[in-house]
Amino acid sequence: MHTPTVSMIIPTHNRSALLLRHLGALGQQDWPLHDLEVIVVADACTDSTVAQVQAFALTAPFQLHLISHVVRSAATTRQVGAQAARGRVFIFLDDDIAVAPGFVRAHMEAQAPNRVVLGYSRPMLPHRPTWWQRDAHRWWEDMFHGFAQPSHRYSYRDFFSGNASLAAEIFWQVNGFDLTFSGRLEDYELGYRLLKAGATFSFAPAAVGDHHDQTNLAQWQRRIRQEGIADVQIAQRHPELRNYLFDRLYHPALITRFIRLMAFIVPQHGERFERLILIAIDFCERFKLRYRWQKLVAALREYNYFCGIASMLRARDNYKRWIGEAPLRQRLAPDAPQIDLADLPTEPAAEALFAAASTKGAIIALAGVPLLALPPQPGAEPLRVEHVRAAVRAIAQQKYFPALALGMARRHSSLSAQLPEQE
Amino acid sequence: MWMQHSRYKPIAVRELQVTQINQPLTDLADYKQALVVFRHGVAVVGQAWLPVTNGRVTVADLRLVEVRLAAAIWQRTTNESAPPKRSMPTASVVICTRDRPADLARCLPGLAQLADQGHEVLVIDNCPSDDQARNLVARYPQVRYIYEPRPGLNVARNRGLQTAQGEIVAFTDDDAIVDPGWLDALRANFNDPTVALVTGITMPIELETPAQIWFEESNGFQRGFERRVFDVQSLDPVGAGRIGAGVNMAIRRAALQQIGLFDEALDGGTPAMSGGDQEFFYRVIARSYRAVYEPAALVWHRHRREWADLRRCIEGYGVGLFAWWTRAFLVEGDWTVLKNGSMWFVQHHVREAARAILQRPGATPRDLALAELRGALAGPGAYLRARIKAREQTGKG
Repeated sequence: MHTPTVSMIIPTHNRSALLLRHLGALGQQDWPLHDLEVIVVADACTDSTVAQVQAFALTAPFQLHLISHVVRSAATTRQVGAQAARGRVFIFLDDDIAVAPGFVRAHMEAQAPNRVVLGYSRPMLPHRPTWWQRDAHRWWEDMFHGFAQPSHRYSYRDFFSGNASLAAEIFWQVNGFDLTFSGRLEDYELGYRLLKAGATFSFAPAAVGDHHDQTNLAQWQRRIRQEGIADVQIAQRHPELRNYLFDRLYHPALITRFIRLMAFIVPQHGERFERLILIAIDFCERFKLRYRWQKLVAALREYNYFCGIASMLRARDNYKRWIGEAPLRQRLAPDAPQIDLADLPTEPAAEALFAAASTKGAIIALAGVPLLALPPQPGAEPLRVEHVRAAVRAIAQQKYFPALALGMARRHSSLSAQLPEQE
Repeated sequence: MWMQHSRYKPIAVRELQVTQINQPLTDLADYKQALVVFRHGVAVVGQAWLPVTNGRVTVADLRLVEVRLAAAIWQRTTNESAPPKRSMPTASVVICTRDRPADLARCLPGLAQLADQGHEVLVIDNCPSDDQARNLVARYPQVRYIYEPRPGLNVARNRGLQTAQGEIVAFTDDDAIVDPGWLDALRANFNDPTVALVTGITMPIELETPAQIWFEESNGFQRGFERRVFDVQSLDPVGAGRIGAGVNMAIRRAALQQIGLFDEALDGGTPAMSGGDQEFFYRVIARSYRAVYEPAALVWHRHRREWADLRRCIEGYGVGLFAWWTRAFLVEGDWTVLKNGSMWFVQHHVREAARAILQRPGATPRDLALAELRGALAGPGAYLRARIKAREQTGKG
């Protein structure tokens, strides 16, 4: 059999109808189908997935392999798929994404050595969406819209294994997914190691698929809990990310502190507490009390995130000690370089300058006038001049220019007061 | 009373590119005052009411305004650059008209230009009493004429939304003239997929009568000179009127599935008199979409000339506002309307009426304040009547 260039890896769990529809649509790809293999990895499926995929494989216009196992882990399921894949490039795709005909070609055209291509999983609103689903929809669209801006600085948290492609070579170079991440965020963790290994991220809006996400608020809360667990795992595995991950947890309001305390000391009442808040959230949505609704959703998120952290760290003292070990807030290194936008050095020197700025942070100046400090951002791609320009533009718009305009206006009014009265 | 004040002489309206600020404005012999609209490229960056002496506005006066323009100019130059034209969505332009041939004749040339650039332009003739509008449009073969027999501005708007082919549909009124850069400025903002609505800036064509001057001075359509993005986090949907007005707006058609069409029981031609645009904006925000106010998208509007028309219009604003709030409460089940609506009624309508009666400095003319208050009181009832009427009409149709 011909060895295909592209291996598409689709993990699935009890969604046979949706999966079959999307597999059928893959036959419409304008990429040569003999050059594409699809690997479906069914994890703990109790529905008809296995039988249906086997039946489909007999007539599929591309090579289709089915692996079925029971591990209940997204990381392992994807890893097993990758081990079976023979292609030069892996495309990881979720089973709830219906891809456009140009999907594979768009991924392949955006591919380059050492590059991770992020596709556009266009979020589709469910029928009669709830407020939370609408907000989630906007959150996804905002994220992809951000990717499309040339000044976007990618971080490891931009890597979603739901729709991404990368060369098998770099995937194995970093040993693929970390199999200890059984719940969630295994993709973030992989993204971090990829960036560290020198991979670049790139967004391909043409690699588009319709993402039929049916998640609701209650399911999201379970994910948030797993996210709390995974964030602790990430911080344990990569201590340099700890500050970055937990920086925002400092100086909380009183109510937030109370919620966190509850997650640690009375986990046995958690279910009841959560159900109560969910009822209150429904009530607010029913009567369109938007402000209360936002507060309650934020509180519920905080609670579940901390339940995740608590289940990893057990006692609250552990958490306090653990978080107190490292100094918080990202700061400039004492020997952080200065980048002068009006006087950028030429190529070899510039590369060294930006490399230093990526790890130590930088002071950004314009013609000798320091404008702002850019602290190092762990887990982000190396600093480029576009990122610096965007930061300068943002701070100028928010801070410097209003001050300047005010100063000008003051000076002007004092000047015009001295002018003789006009007729 | 306000309109009888003899000091309200006609005011000239002139536009001026910021780069030309070093030349005086001339040819203003008939005026004592001018409203100068400052532009930076296509963007409107500010306005000023300046004195006219010997038929001209002096450079010194113009220069005094300059600093006030700085913030708006800066905002434009520091924003990320506009997307390339080919990635902008296709657009249709819809104008709803009803028995105003003189206004329509003035607005058509600008629209014909947009049609020449390849955009679809539709004139919806709403329940006309003669065929003057049809004949006017016939002079421009590139503009499509559509006859809509059922009366009501929102009925006509819906007809436009359902007929138009473009990915976005831009609306303006028959008593407005569009600026050449209008449509492209609106289109550029749809680059963000979460944006379902873009509104633009509206400036007066003329300020010849006390009614027109009062309307402009009381900031009838004024929404500022800086681009703003609204969503449910930054704006309570009940205050959706702050986003803009139906005279200058564009809508993404794909979002209509979630947002719904205009409510045909609201706006011109119904007992509710106005509010149809604001109610639609409410749903845009409440359904978690974004709305953008874009001051580079400019239309020039002819305000009502006669004081009696203005009074009816202001009364209509009062009716329309409370009519659509009634709808938000009854149809959308939005209980915050009760709080916000009653607060606004006391803090704005009652207060303005009291100030007008006591003749406080800067108060609204008494007849206008009372008309608006009257309208606000009539609003909820008017909406219910309009619903019944609209249902009967659709039943017949």
